[in-house]
Amino acid sequence: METIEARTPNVSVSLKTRSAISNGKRMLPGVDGRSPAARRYRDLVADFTRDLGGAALSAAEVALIRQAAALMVRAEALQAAIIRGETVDDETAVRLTNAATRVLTAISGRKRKREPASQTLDEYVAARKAARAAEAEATRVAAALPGETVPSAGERTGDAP
Amino acid sequence: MTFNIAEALTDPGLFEPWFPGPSWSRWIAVLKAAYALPMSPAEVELFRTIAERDPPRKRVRELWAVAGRRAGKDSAASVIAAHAAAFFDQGHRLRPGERALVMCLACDRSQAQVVAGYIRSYFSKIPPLAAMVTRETGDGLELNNGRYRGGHQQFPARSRPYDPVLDF
Repeated sequence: METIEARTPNVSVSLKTRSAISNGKRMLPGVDGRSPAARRYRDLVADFTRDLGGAALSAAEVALIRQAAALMVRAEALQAAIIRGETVDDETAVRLTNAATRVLTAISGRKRKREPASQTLDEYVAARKAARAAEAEATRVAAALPGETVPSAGERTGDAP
Repeated sequence: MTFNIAEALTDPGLFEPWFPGPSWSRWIAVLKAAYALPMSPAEVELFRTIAERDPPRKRVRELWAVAGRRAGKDSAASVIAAHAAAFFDQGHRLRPGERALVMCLACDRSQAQVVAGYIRSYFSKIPPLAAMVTRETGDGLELNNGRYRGGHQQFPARSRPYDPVLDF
């Protein structure tokens, strides 16, 4: 039986007993996924997921991404209403913007943490010292064999000049 | 594994891009002398023309540079601080949980921030150094070597609470 032990190591749960939303088969309960807002929400979830490095996300990261996508869809709807000249509750618009900013900041912070660590200073210094030692050795060998020249390609293969 | 300050200063993957060309040879000679590093005869002669003395026989505890504007004093100070922070290896002198601190002292905050800006650029643009930064604070950086905090401080208000632990 297929389980999700990787995500919940202490609990072995059948995929069939989990909800469709948990398994990623459905986006949200009772939502028509074909509506413009639903399609925009799905696109945003996909974009934020890609920004965070793909599918291997924790449950908390998935929740953050969904929250950010929902807030963005709502904020975009309010922005559209403002542009159409409709009356919009300014406080709601500001709150939505602030909430979306906070969630997006949290997501970008996780993205930075996920970026692969570059070479450590110790590793870099060790590599550079090895390279310098190799260069010094090559120089020493070249100096110890004066007059010797590197054979040409024709000489190495025995071809006629 | 460590680089002395001259090796770090002339390494293209570390500080060399900030100190290109022969115009920095005087500072390199001065730093080699201050750290009692091996010097070529030309560097010894160059040091003599600047300092009017022979290079010290052992690493100095204080280095006084009497130099004019645009002589590179802040740049040299920044690389000394950054090198000391990055290659710090005197953990035996710290108690568990204690952090060492590199302070760049100046007569006011704006002047201290000049050197702090240089140091921040090293720890953001040089990949092996950037990988060491765990936290940026208002007045400095915290590094991941677990024993060190590189930073800058204005003189003299907060210079008293910290005990010097670095042996220069």
